[in-house]
Amino acid sequence: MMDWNQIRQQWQDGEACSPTPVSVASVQRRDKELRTQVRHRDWLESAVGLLIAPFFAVAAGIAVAHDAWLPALFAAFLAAWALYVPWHLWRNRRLLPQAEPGRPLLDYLRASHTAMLLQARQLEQLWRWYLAPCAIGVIGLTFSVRGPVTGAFFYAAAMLGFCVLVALLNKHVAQTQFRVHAQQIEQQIFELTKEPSA
Amino acid sequence: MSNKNQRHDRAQDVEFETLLGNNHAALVRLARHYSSPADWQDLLQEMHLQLWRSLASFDGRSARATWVYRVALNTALSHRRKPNHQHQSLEPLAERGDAGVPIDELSLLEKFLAALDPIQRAVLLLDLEGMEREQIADVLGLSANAVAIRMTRLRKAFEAQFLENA
Repeated sequence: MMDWNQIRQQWQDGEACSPTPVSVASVQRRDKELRTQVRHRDWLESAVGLLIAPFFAVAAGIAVAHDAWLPALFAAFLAAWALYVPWHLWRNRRLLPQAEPGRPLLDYLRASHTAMLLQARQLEQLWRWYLAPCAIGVIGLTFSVRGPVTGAFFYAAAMLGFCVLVALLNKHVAQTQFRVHAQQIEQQIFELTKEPSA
Repeated sequence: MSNKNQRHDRAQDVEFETLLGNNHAALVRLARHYSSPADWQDLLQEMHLQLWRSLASFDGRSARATWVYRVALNTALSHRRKPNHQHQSLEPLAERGDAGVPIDELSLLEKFLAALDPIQRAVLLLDLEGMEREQIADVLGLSANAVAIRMTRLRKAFEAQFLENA
């Protein structure tokens, strides 16, 4: 008969631990580095939006001064979009449920599952809040300024092609990463909650 | 920064240092069983980081050891989902008995653990760390009864495999 207590004791005694001393300072340093990286990413997103928005706002102002109302409308639309994108990203990150690692595993997995599905959905819907408004604004501005010339049609086609490609790539990432992870978590939740047979 | 804040930070540092020191061996074991041999130190670092970040939210409603295992296990399972961390490998230990040498219990246990899914592995690892059923239940978010049934089943399966290899 196997002595489980003995196995347990052997297990606890047997592991040769890493001799590397655990430095609190190094953990704190890593934490600080990662937080700085996140702040920089957020700052960069906002900065790009804040740089683009005034450019289109000024373009809209100039168009209004020349009584070119249609180009002004599209330029204003692009300025608003440039401000909306960083705000949208900021809001979504804050609305994303955080899986708190100090919670019991089952709660943690459920929160992770919800977060994973939300992230997948955000990527799948990128075309709605990012690509489509950008394409409408840029193509609209091009046609309203240049008229229906061949170059404008080529530009519009290239722009649309690029947007479709980006949308498909994001959809692919959502389905091959986030939704796959969500399924894995769902499987783990199932393993954890299924009624064990005695 | 005021003296009061500095004292608080220092106390938190000491508390964290003690926590890591007390649980170092268990965290290493957990990290090794949820990552590849080349990757377990990354996972260990990630566990330390998550413990540090979560320390302020520890409300004392569960035992400190239970909380440490929760954070470590949750981090380990998330780590496995990251790209390039999908596999875990215990091959060097698991294959010790293949050369005609009688296999010992611990080697067989490693092999048995490697074949389990991450959830079942967690149940067995927590038990091997000497946790009571109620504590394991608290880590996993299950009832003590559900843990007991799983443990019995796992031990029986291991015993059967051991007898088969003996």
